Order: sequence, then structure tokens, then C-alpha cells
Amino acid sequence: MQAHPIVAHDPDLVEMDLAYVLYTSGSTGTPKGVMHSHRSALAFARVAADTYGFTGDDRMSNHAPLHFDLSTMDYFSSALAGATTVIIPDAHTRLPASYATLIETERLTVLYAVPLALTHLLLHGALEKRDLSSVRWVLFGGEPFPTHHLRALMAALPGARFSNVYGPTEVNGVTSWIVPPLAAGEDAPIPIGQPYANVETRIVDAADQAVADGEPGELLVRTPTMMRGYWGRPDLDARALWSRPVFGHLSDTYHRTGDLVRRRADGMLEFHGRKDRQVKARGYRIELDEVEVVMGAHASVESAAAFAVPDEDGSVHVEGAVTVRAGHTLTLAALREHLAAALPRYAIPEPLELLDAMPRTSTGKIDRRALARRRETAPRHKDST
Amino acid sequence: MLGSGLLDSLSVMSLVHYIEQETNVAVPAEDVTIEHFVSLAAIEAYLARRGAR
Repeated sequence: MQAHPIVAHDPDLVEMDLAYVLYTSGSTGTPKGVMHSHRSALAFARVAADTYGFTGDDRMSNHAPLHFDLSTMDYFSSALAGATTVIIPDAHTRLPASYATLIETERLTVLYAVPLALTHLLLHGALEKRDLSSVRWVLFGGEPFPTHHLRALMAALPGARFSNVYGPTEVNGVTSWIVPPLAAGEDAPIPIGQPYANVETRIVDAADQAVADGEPGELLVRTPTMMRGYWGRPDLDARALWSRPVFGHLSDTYHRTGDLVRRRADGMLEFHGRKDRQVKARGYRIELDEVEVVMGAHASVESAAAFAVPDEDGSVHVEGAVTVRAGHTLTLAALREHLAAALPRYAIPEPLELLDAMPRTSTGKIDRRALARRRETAPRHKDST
Repeated sequence: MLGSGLLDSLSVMSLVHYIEQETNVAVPAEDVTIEHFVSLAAIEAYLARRGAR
């Protein structure tokens, strides 16, 4: 028998110590350094490997930039399971036909990406020319996957299972939803699913009281996958980390996600947007995410963004932009009519714009700040109303 | 172009659309690959093979 190798270790380093810092732009614009410990990283690597049953035979796609928390599953869960992680060159992500060929030649079994990358793969990857039977999991997260594209991708990869992975960078992943067959024509947004076994979720109102069953509220989570705090920002820690007695005199820490969710009758959580995306425009409270949901519900809308633009008088007003689904035509008048049927007049974005493409952040999310900045610097036009 | 980060996936699609209109050559999705689009010379060689004038 071989002697155990002697591994040098730092006697002052324990699993609660800092392992890495991920910078997230957040929704407010100032980058925040999210500090993860060895424990939180490993806890998520384990839960992902367990949930999806990764083994040494798996070959995982890895194309998230290092600063994006999708990369932690690609690097840590694969290592934990003894799987192979295949780093996808940037050029392949830009050229979906090359990416599809790479999936085939590398015999990838797990794809994990933002919905936008998977949508490009579906629309431009010439998937019907490739043998992609090696793929057994398609995982996605970071932002909502438009249901009609998800359904089409499921039809194109009939041998794969699909899962929505949800969790802010501060807590890695905390819920998942294994996608069942999606009925044709069912375009309602998909849920974020149910919490992992070792995760407690609470849905609370503005006074931190539990909401009634089926009511939307802010999601608070208690999980071993949680960050230690924000790098050099105790002020942000105080807001994002909420200590509460759990038993006896002992307290534990919950993370305020800032995400609004609702628990459906079947226990699945639905994502209802960001809490801090509520703006007050001319005295009216407007949930920008709710406005986007209504915009996106028009059958011809591919993607939608609603954003607040400052006025000269210090107030804000809501503007909007949409891209149109391939093969559809959409006029602004038709879109306005659709919005007027569901939204109060003050919440209808004006001006509304049809764009060829949405500006995107480095992590592939719609860049609403870039849209707002673009409008702020645009020449002022006479208001026609 | 691809290596320099000049093109993202959306501008690749716009470029393909432009090429199709200018040259009257249909570029099928499976041909929009790194080998064919890595540089201007590569695009030119690809289009020549496809019979563009």
C-alpha cells in the first residue's frame, strides 16, 4: 500500500475563507465584488453535480467568462464529478454553426449557457445537419428563456433534458426547474422552479412579513452556497444580508435577493422581476419588469426592454424598445394598442422604438442602462402629445 | 475579425445578410463558420468558390 502523500497546507486557511471575488454590475451600475468562500463554491459545485447527476463520462461546455458566475458550475462541478470541461473559444460562440460542429466533434453531454447563446444556436446553428445525440442536459440561466425558443430547441434536441438554473451571483444557484414537455402555443414565461434541498426560501413583503400564499414578494434565501459579503462594502452587506432568529437565541443569515417571485399552487416559483426596477414617474409607481412582461407578451415581440430616463425636471419617464420576431411584422401603433389594453396610460413607454438588436452586456443580458444612456444623449425631440 | 472581438454574433448575422444582398449568393447557415469568416480573405475565398462574381 502506498503511503498517503503529505500535502502542505496553510494552517490558517479554513473553508469559510475567501476563495474568489466575482464582480457583478448589478442593476444599479456600480460593480460589486461578491466574495465567495471555499465552502459556498463547493456547496454549489455539489448541488449542481447531484441535481444533474454529473459523472466522469460527462463533457461540459464552458463558455461563460470567468467573471460570470455560470463559469463556477463549468469549472467546479465538472472537476468534482471528474467530468471534462471543454472551453468554448469566443469565435465559436459568435458563429453558432461552428459551435454546433464543436458540440458534435467534442461529443459534449452538458451545455450550460445564457438563453441568448442557445437561441442563436437554435436559429443559426444548422442543427439539423449535425448529430447532437451526445447532449443529455441543456442548462440555462442568467435571464428568462423566451418560451417559444425553448420549445423549438427542445424539439431540435429530442434526446436532451432541459433545466432552468436560477440564483443571483451572491448565492450561486438556489432553485431549478426541470422543463416538462411544453405544449404548442403555450408562451407564458417559464418558472424558476423549486429550491434545492439544502435551501430555505422566504417570500416577504416590504415590511419583511411573509406574503399570503400565491402573492408576489421579495425572495430571501438561506443557503450554504451564499457569499460572505461584498468586497469592501459593509454598507451593501447591511442591506443584502438579513439576520433573523431561526431557533432559540440563534440567528442565521438570509440573502435579500432583490428579486420578486411568486409561489404557484404547484410549489414552483415564478420570477416577477427586480424589486429595484420599480420607478416613480410623475408620481406613479411603475414596475418596469411588469411593463416588459406585457411588451414581451405581444406575439410578434422577440425581446423587450422598458427603462427609466431622467427628465430635466428631476423626475423620470419610461421609455421602451423591442425587437421583432423573425418572420413577423410589427408596427408601433399595433404595439401601443396591445400595451394600452393591459397597462395604465402612465405606464406605457413613450417613446417606443423598434430595434434590430438589443444592446447586450458582456454576460449576454439586455443592457438597459445602455438603452437609457442612448436616450439621454439623443437630441431632445418635441413631444407630440 | 473574429479574434479581435470586432464582430459579435449579431453583427455576424448582419454581415451575412449584407453579403447575400451584395453578391446574390445565398449563404446557408451551416456555411457561416469560423473557416469561412475568420478574415476578409477567407470570406472572399469562400464567395469565389460559391461562384460570386
